[in-house]
Amino acid sequence: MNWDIVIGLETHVELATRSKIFCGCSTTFGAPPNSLCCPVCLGLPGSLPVLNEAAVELALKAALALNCTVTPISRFDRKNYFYPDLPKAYQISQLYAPLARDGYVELPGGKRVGIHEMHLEEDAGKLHHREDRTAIDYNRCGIPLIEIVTAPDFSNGDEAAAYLEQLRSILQYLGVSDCRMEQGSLRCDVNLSVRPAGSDELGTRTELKNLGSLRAVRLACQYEAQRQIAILESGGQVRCQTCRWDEDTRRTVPMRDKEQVGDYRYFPDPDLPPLVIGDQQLDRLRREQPELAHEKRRRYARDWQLGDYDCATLTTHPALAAFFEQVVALGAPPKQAANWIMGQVLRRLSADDLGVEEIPMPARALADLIALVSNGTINRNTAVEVFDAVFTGGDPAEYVRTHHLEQTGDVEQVTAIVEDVLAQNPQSVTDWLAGKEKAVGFLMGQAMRALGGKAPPALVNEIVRQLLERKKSS
Amino acid sequence: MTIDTKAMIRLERQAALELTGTDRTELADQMNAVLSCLDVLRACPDLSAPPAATGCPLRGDEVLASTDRAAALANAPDTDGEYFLVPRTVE
Repeated sequence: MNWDIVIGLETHVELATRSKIFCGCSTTFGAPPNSLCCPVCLGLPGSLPVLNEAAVELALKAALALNCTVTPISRFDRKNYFYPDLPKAYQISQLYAPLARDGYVELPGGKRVGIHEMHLEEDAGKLHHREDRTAIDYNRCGIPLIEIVTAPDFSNGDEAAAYLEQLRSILQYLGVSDCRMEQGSLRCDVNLSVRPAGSDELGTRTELKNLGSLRAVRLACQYEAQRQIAILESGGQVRCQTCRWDEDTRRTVPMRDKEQVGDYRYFPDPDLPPLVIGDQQLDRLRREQPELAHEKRRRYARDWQLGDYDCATLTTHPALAAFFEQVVALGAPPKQAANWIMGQVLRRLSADDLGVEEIPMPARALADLIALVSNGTINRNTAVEVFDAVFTGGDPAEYVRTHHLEQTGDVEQVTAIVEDVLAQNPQSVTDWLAGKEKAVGFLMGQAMRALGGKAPPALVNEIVRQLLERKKSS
Repeated sequence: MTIDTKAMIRLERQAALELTGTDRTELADQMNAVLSCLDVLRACPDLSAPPAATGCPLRGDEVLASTDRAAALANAPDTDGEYFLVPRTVE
């Protein structure tokens, strides 16, 4: 029997606010455990939550960019559950009137994925399981989150991963979140079921957690779909469960039977009045929305004739796109700027273990370096040497000057050196005269080496050929 | 909504509690009494009424001093000086 795989995603994204959603504690990542807590986020009696306006603003930016309809009056609810990651024994979330609904994300291939709803909520604390105890750090407790719930529109893990990449790009460009999966600021749960091909009825789903990378999402979807199909084909029934992805064994491991919405005993939070969103605020946010990655890709292709690969690579992160655009604005030809960034800049960032938002080289230095190559002051090989020298600081022109790296355009000087090279390599000359064209390449290499790489290759090539032709006719 | 025996057994499992039959009945009665209060609240028209024009009060995104960790941990039943400690929650 053939099977259809049905996947929906629930993505939690930490919002890039300075303070938590309902209190003034800092959201700094990596602080000593339990050093960023107060009576509100510790759920001490008598404390009251006050909503952070920046969290609302960031969530609205995301909602608009995800083409959602914003709820004019949304409400906060208490999601009750008994687990030590939230000391209040409930999470402030939104169930009955979430912040936004009915949006979509368009994947690079053109497929539209529906956004069922998006709501604001607080994050829970972090648990560390030790041998006999569980240790709790409540620093993360109260960090503002948006939860984005898609329609069950994915049919494989690759599509789910493509959606997450697109979502991450949109949220990073908006400045809504840094979306670092490895730090947990973007976390994704997968809901997956299978059904006979062509059937309209959804099968029993499982929820997959602990997916720390896009690769894990792909692998977990693949594994879980095959597991469910095997159960159904052997006459069994899939249990409605929450499973954990085990990265080491590359298997999904059942954790518990999946809770239903009734299990959480949601009710409106009496401490927080309804959140009213006005048209003026939405209009302003629409006007302020920055150019997103897919819009940049379209512009780069249209205005600068860059290919799909270049456009995709340069827009993987807003910091990289901004650097590229600065270099172009300073006069570098777009294709040359793109080649330098995708080649040398990314190579050095990787070698120096730096992120794209940490490029130490000013855009001006790269633009100047490209100009030095374009105007013939240095050749491409020398430029790479200069690039490496000034990547962490320094002026390319100054470096070229102090290290005497300028190319020579002196035809007499180049001719004299090429004559020496031909004299020292009579066999190659004989080979060329006998019709072996490859010998020119060898002689070119020798001449460039003798010139210390400081002559334009085109000039050297021309002189090598002129002298060889002269020998042929003499 | 009422808490029947089936719901009680599920809640017990989720809360990791082991109750005797008498306790279970007594606790279910108490919980149903609480839930009946919620039913009264649900009957109030307020939830569908438009909110005050000001809506939810908001605060600026300003970082304020957090509680000293020693003070935060002071009331915990068990700590190691850095973390709150509870019985292991996973098997």
